[in-house]
Amino acid sequence: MRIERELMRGAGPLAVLKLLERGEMYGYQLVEALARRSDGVLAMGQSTLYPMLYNLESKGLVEGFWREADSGRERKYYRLTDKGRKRLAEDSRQWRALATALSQLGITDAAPSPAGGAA
Amino acid sequence: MSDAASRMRSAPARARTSGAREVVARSGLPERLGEIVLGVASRCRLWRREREDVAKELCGHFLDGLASGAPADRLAADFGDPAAAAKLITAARKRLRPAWWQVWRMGLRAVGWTTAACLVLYAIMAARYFLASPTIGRNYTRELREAAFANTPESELAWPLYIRAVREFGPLPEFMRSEHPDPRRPDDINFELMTAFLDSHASALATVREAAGRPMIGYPWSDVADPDYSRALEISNPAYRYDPSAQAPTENPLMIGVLLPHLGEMRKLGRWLATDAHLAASRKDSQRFIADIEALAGMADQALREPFIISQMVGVALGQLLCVTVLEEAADPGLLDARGLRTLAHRIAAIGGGRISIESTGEVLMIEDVIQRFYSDDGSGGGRLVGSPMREEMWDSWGAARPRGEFILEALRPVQSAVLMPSRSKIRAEIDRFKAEFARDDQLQPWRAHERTSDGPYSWLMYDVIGSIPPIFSSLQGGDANTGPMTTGLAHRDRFESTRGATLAVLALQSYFVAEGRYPPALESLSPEYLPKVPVDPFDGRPLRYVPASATGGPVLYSIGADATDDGGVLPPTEEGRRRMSDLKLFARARKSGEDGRLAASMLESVDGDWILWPADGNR
Repeated sequence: MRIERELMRGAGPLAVLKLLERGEMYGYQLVEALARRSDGVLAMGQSTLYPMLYNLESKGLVEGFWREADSGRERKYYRLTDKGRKRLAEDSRQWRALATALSQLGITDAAPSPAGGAA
Repeated sequence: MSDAASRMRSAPARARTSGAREVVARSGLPERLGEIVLGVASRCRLWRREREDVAKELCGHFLDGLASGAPADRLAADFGDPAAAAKLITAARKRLRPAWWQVWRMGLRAVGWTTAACLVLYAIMAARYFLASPTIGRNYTRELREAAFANTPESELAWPLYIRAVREFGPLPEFMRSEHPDPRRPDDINFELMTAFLDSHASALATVREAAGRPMIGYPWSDVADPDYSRALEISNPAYRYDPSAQAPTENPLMIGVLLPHLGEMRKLGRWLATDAHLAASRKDSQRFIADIEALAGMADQALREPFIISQMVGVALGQLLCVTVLEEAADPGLLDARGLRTLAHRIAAIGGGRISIESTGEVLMIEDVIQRFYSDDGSGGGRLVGSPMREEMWDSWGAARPRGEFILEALRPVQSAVLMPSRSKIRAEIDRFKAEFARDDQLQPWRAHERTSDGPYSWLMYDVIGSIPPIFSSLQGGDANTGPMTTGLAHRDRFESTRGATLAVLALQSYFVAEGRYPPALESLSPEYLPKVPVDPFDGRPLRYVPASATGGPVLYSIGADATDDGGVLPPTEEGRRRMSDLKLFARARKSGEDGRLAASMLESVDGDWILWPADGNR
């Protein structure tokens, strides 16, 4: 299932920030992880991912840097900044509140618990 | 992208993407994926280094995909639209640029938007300016002509006779082109030559006197000189050639451009009459003296009947000249008998209907005429400055030098119209204000001249509004309320009225002397038999000062002068002081500058003394 553009505009950056919370990742890795961990719901074309990464970088939420990969060639990695970490926490709170509200309206099956698990 | 399409790319595009090409070539990507990378990089409107970075990262992306086992076709399909990617990447990468660039871009955008807004505004203003046009509904010059003398029979118009007089005087003698062209009194240089000239042109002088006896001048106001007059000028000045084909008169001429050459001619003929009066006095020819003075009075009345302030000022000047001439000669015991004195007194008292009232009709219509030619008319009194075909005509007909960059100035006219120029209704209101204030100023007594206010609205109308409508009106620029065109005119009128009062008093004194063999002890003794009322001093409103017997023997009649202090009938010590002691404008300025109605003494140092009206030494 593909998500509407407007919904993706809000969810996409949050998903990327969340993936980077665990550590630095490079572009293709992020594409793969998004597709795999969201069952394809949040899969996005590279033509969308890279502009999104540059936007997050310009806002100071992620930091891009070149580093030599195991293969010997240079690869650009991204990692979360302190500002990005704060934004992730804040946006997560908002999305949880939204999910709870949607659940109470019967739009979603169950609201996530405050800890992030299933209710 | 196909090979063919690739080959068709322009040389500049190749140059722009040469760095990205190298990156793709070095990466070893399959051709299809390499073309996607190049397709994105070439479309990105970024700096070369940024494009190389984008190419490098996308190459890395595809290489990572291939390394993970994904086929090139799937990677290409998953990438999405290169054009959309390039657009998004360009926008996103630009946000990563340094702060100075962001500021510069914001400034550039601000300039761009401001320029665009200005252009839109200008387009609106230009449309309002160029698409509207004025409506010339009235022919003010014709209206004035009809009101002034259209119904007067030609036998009562003076102008044809003045032209005849110019012809009869013939070529002007050489001394009139010398340093002393205008001797008026026996002790002036060239007076002998002047008397010979006047004596030999008795018939021309008679024509002038006859002309002066008619009620109206009847000069045909137009934007070209009267042809008959121009032909007469060929006689008085053999070097002058009249070219009748030079310019045809306009049916509805711009009133501010109407020529009034008759005024200069009348001033000249008036001076000759005054000189002739002195000549007559020196010969004890009272009949000729009285005839000359009456002719001067007639000319003054004619000029005063014209609706233009400049004409009325000529009338005032002729009246002043007449009075000074009488004051200079009236004490001559052998010149005027009781009847002659009475005749002159009555004629002088009648100039301008007894008291000259300056009329602003002509000036107001001049302003209204300009407005109707350059302003639109919405039918309810409103309107604005608009493009007028008149402007182009005026460059040619007025012979004005076009300024440098005239095109730019003209292009700015819509802005001037929208931003700087007042509306027609505002001008109308100010014209009404001017008329009301000028009528009030005209009635104010001279010692209250500092309360006059009409210079304010007049200067605004003439200099700020009319003076801002080039081409010809630029010559009006530089004037303002401080130059006081209206108060100056009224001060000349007040000075004449004071001089007239003194002249009537002197004629009464002489009549008293003829009857009683002595001068009266006080001016009040003249009333009512010789003088209806004692004239007042223009500087304080009290009766003119009179000393029956002075140190020189004869009586003295004087005003306290511009310093408003009675010095007992003493002339100021300096030439400038003697010249300015009757300066009512200086007096009004000093009163305005002083506190609580007191005079600013520092402005009046040069006029420490009195204005001696009779004997007439102080009047020349």
